[in-house]
Amino acid sequence: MKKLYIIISILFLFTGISCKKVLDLKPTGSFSSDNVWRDPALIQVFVNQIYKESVFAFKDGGFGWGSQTDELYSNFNWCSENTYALGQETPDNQSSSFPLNYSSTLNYWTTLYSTIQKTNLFFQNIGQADTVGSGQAINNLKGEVHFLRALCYFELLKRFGGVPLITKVYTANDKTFNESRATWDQTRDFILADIDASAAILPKAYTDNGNDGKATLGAALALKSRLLLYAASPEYNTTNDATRWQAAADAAKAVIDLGVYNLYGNATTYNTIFTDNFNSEVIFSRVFSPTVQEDRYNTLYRDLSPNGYNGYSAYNVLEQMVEDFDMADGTPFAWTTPVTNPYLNRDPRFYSDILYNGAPFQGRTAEFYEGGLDSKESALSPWNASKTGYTIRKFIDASYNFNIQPYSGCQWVAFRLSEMYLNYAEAEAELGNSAQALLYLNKIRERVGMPDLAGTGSALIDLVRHERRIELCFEGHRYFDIRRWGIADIGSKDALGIMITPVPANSTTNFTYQIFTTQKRVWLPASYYYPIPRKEIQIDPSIKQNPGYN
Amino acid sequence: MKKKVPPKKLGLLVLCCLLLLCCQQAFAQKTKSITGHVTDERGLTLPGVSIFIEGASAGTTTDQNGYYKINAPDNATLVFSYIGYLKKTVQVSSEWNGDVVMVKKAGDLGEVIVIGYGTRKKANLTGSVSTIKGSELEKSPVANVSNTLAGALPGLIVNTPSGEPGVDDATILIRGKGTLGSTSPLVVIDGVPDRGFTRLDPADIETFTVLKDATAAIYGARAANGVILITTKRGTAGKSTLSFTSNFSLSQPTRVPKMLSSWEYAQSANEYDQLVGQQPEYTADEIQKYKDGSDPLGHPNTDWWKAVMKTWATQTNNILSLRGGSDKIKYYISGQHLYQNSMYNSGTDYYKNDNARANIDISATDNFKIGIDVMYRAEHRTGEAPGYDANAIFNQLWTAYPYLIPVYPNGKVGVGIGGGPGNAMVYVLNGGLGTTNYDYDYLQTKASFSWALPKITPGLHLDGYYSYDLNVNQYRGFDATPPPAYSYNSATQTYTEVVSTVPPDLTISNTLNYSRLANIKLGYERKFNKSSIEAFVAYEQQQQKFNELDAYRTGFLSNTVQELFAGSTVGETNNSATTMFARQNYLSRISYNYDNKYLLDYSMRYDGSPNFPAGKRFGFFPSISGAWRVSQESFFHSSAIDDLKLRASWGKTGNDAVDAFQYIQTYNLQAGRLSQYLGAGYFYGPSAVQVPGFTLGPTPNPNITWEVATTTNIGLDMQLFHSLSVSVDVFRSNRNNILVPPSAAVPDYTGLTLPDENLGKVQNKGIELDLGYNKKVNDKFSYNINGNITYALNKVIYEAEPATVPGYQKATGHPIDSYLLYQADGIFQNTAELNATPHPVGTGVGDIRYKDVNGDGVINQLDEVRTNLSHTPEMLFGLTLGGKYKNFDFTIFFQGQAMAKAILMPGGLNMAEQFFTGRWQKEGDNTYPRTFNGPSERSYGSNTYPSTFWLKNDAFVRLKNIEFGYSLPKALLSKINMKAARVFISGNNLFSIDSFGPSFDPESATGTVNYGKYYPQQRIINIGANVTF
Repeated sequence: MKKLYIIISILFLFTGISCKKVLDLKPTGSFSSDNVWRDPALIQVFVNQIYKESVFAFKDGGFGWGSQTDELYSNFNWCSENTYALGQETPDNQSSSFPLNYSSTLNYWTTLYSTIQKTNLFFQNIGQADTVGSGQAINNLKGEVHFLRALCYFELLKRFGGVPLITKVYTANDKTFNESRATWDQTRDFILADIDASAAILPKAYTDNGNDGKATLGAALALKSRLLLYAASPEYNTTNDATRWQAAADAAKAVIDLGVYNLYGNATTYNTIFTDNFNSEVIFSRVFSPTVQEDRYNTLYRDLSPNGYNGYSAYNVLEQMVEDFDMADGTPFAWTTPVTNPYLNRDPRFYSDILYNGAPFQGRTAEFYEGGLDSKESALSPWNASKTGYTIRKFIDASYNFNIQPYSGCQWVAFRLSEMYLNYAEAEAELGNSAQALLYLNKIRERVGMPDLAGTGSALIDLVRHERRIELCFEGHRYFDIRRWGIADIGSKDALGIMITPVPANSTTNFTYQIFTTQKRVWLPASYYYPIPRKEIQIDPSIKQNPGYN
Repeated sequence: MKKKVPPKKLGLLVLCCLLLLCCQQAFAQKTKSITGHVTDERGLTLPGVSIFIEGASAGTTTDQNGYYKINAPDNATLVFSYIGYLKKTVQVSSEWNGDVVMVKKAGDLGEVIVIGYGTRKKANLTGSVSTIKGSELEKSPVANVSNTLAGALPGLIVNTPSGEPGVDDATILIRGKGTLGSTSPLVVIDGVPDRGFTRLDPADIETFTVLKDATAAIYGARAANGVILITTKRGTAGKSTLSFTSNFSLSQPTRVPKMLSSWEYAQSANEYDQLVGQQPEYTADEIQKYKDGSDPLGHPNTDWWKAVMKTWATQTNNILSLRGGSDKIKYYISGQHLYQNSMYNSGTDYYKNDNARANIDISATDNFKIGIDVMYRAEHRTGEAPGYDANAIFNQLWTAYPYLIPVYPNGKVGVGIGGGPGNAMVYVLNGGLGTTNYDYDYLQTKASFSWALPKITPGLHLDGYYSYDLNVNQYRGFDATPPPAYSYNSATQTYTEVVSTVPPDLTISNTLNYSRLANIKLGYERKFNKSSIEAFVAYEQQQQKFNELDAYRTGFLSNTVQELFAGSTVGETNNSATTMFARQNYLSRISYNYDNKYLLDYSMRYDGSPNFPAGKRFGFFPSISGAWRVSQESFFHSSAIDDLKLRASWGKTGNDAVDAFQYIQTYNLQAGRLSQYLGAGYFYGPSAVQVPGFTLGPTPNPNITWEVATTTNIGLDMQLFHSLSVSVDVFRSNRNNILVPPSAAVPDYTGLTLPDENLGKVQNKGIELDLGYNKKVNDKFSYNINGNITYALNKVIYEAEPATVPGYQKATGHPIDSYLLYQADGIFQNTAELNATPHPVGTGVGDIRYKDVNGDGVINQLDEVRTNLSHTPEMLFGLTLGGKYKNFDFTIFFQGQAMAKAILMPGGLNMAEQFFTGRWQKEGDNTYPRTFNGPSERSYGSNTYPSTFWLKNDAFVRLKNIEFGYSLPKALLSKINMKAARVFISGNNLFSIDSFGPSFDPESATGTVNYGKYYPQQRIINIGANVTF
């Protein structure tokens, strides 16, 4: 019987171990709701991620869009741009992911709503933080998240038109879905409400410049200016309602009148607008660290530079774009025979924005001519050569040697004062206030030493649009501008490049020029809007597809 | 309490009855007392053999030493029967001395089979169990145990997706797929779950058992995908045996793709340019130069496979073991050293595996036994630079332009496809870009006791064990600054040097995991009369902890010192993480056996898993199984059938293999670097200071709980003609509450990261047949044939799908992983056809024509149709032919699958040559579409749509293994004090019959589309020798 007692005690011992509730584990690899929403430092971390996901930059904010227009050709199809340029987009090939990967598109329906869900989760829970004090910091975060949600919805509006306006936080228990799409105007109003909420909170500037890069009053008002300019534009303002143009003008003027921002740089230092972090012209920007690689964001200098410099020539400037840069005297460029060097005496911005044959760059001149170091006949990775004979020079700090480290610090300027001038000029020109329009248009030209413009009516509108094309090239505006102006099909004109032939064959200074087609493009009328992924419509038939897609 | 009749007295009683019966007969016939000795073929005594007089119901059994005594009439016929042995009948005669030699049955029914938490004689199994001996697995010369299993056991579906040394684990399915979630079976080694088996020394494996039906329910919550039980060898009493085996192998890919030559590449590129409206890149003159090889430096033609891969890679495997012991102490001690080279030509890659094991059994007293098991394994793998795992390397290899030169005649290394030195394949594969080093150290210990308690009541015993497994892993990835590479300019005949000055960086990641398991079991075994009972109750508890610590620095001044201190603190990162895990289980089984005729088992398990919220944490998993050994019945008389058994089982098993904490919202901190190429978080301030971010875990599912499988199995085991064994099983398993995220049913606009939900339902059913035939022709020659075939068909009964999905696309009603494909209808041969048929934008003559399934005049995803076959084969078979002639022995093992489909298509330029030569060029060409892939992995048009055009029949028969051996004559060996010596030659994956052509292996790497871009499956030629002292 003694043994029996021992056994019983052993069994009890084990039961005793089990009583310690070994299964009651807490996650040790992550934070939980209890931690996050009562700690302002952790809430800040939550908001940081929303910034990361909603402020787009170089490839998804600029070049990817430019390559679907008359600005650029995408050499490697990093954002599936060529699917659109070739008119092959369907509701079935719209996958998107964050961060953007090789097979991803810029559709971003899924990723934007995922970020919107985070903003909604923020508003659902932020009340808990009020109980722990630090009211000012928390309040500012509310303003920032209102701004970021507005930014996300604006990105959706630009792509799809009106979209479902989701403010609720869905749970795993939601099993039926019948959200329909709001109209364009309803979506605009929703975004405006978020902008107004953020504008009521956000400061003009942060006293500690360590906070540069966070949303400010200026950022909120700049977004409002862009939104209202779009809303007034022909494609969305079908009745040509002048009050919309007035609202757009007022919104742009509000930013200008903040008195916080000034045009930065001059004809020779123009590129410092982009390379000097948070300079006086910058309203809102995203900066990248020189110590952490963010592939295809801060590997920009390598990605854009020609093969002869060990770069990738990832985005190539089209001949159409080059030709649209006027001569320095303000007259349009033309291939009047004989042009011995088409790159002489152009708008100073041409030299800041575009790397062309003969351009000085990193210790030598670029050689895009046939057989040159940067051509597809080069001995240096010819498969990385530009297909058009040009690459982007804008944004690049030429003093940086990306051969030592492929990534560097850099800045994507999301909103800058120059755009506000152009927004204002466009609205005033549409309203017929030529003087006001020209005043701001010429400020932009004067900075780079271009002669003043004059004009009225539709001629002036054309001048504003042309100035916008030049001043804001590759910054992600063109794709949406040609849509709101109702002229999106010009983006599907065949992409042109230039063939530069040395004469005689061994010359490095004398060339003949021949324009050729780099990419035969196909126009799909549906592409005013992106297709909504088919899955959404299958699950929720109350979501209607955009016209032209099936 | 009713007084029990002790067995001894019971025997006496039986004897009395017997005598009485005999007396009755004595009136008619004279009786005679017969004594004798019963042995097996080897002369070993057989205790417990039952002896009956034919026609009478009485009998006796042999005693401990195999002796018996029985009174029988003259001319009576005595019937000797013993489990696992053929029935023997002897006519009593004066010549007969009473001794009997019994012959083992073909299927070895006396064999002891490991089942969950116990063992059972094969004849008395009630469940569906497949077993294979370790010695069979040893025959295959592969380094990874999981690659020896295909076709070896009925019910196992095994696929080897990669041949890379050290990362060549096969995927294993037991009876196919039964769930939409995790399909991995539970692996239990010596009673301890979560011990990986693939890297075990196969010579250490005593038995490999697969529990396929509801009897796996004794493992409760993790048993729904079946259970694999492995026991390692233990000591045996007797003179110690020292065994040494040495193997040397050569391996090479089963198939080497024949890629495009440079002129074909240039031609394709031009055709692609034309297709997308661009200028052709190559002139006719250039193509001619590529074709005729007249300018080998300027217009080369490189076969990258030949340039950077070896024809044969080597592998050595040496195994030493010592086995022996006394009545008190028994031991098994072994060691293994395995070394595998990679197929990369100049490669620094290799894999090394060292195993050591000691299993000791001590009998402290007659009633108290102790076991001490220790295993230590050190694995080391050196790979190429970080970011260049096998997939990346083979991706590059497939992409590599044939017009690039790997190494110029003057020894200068050419640039790679990225242009810089950093992308030169030559550098990638010889460590020029850096190396990765993986060290995996495993220490697995187990202390066990078994305490018989006959004083409390006979048959009662208390067993227990405690295991402590420690696993230390280290990863080191060093990115070196590559040496310069060179481009040749044929116009100027000069080399341009491309120099990289990217500073080296180092990532170190250490993980330390441990697992502690305690098991205590109170068992009772007793025989009453003809009945015997076995029962136990047990408690088991497991706790696991995973610790991770990693660090990163860049800015190293040189490639030489690869430690963190040598790097710069600018940009450094570090990180740690801890994860805990635990389980709690209560289990019990009761087994009843009546006269080895009627067998019944009932088991139950009450399981707790922390993957689920309180209240949903515990699950109850019962199972009942029974068997009727028909051939044991007295009415059963058959000269053909030696043994016949019917089996049936039913039970519930669970699956909880999902991420933990899905019932609460988690926030995962993202800081530092997410990968080599991606940073975490955001940046504020003029100097862009990095701040962390949070990504969200899945939206909480407070109701998450077990996946439950209800499994029914009916089986039949037969022994025929003393040499043929047949086993048939029919099974059905219904899986409910399957844990999958309902991603097809929730729109993306909700923004949700979906948690697993208990939503799916799957039915899996099938049949298994196992046949064995053993024949000893004479003393010199014997042979055996074993075959098995498994057919398992699964069907999704319910999956969350929107109602608007057309019927012909629904996953419901189709097998798991069934393809959703456009229906190819040939190739557009001319413009008239093209214009008359709906087609996607960009389609032209020479492209695949798709059927407009829904007839809406548009080709889009709604025209995809769900197919009925998937990548998972529905049928799997194996056939072994073995034989012995004098001192020679051989084994030939074929394995194969049927009723499976795989997609095989070119994943861009470069590609296998067959796609180029077979491309559409003119009306009438039908093999492949026109060129649609361009350089830099771009493609145009709709040919890349997943369609039936690229779907291939994935049935194959493989000569999986073949072995010839020669054992040295015993007479010779005894002179040098050697017990046995054998030399052998073997081959693995020597050939296969399939429809995958010359460039691809039918066992593709991925479940969906096979582009061939992975470390290919290997063919192995092996020679070896084994000596035993």
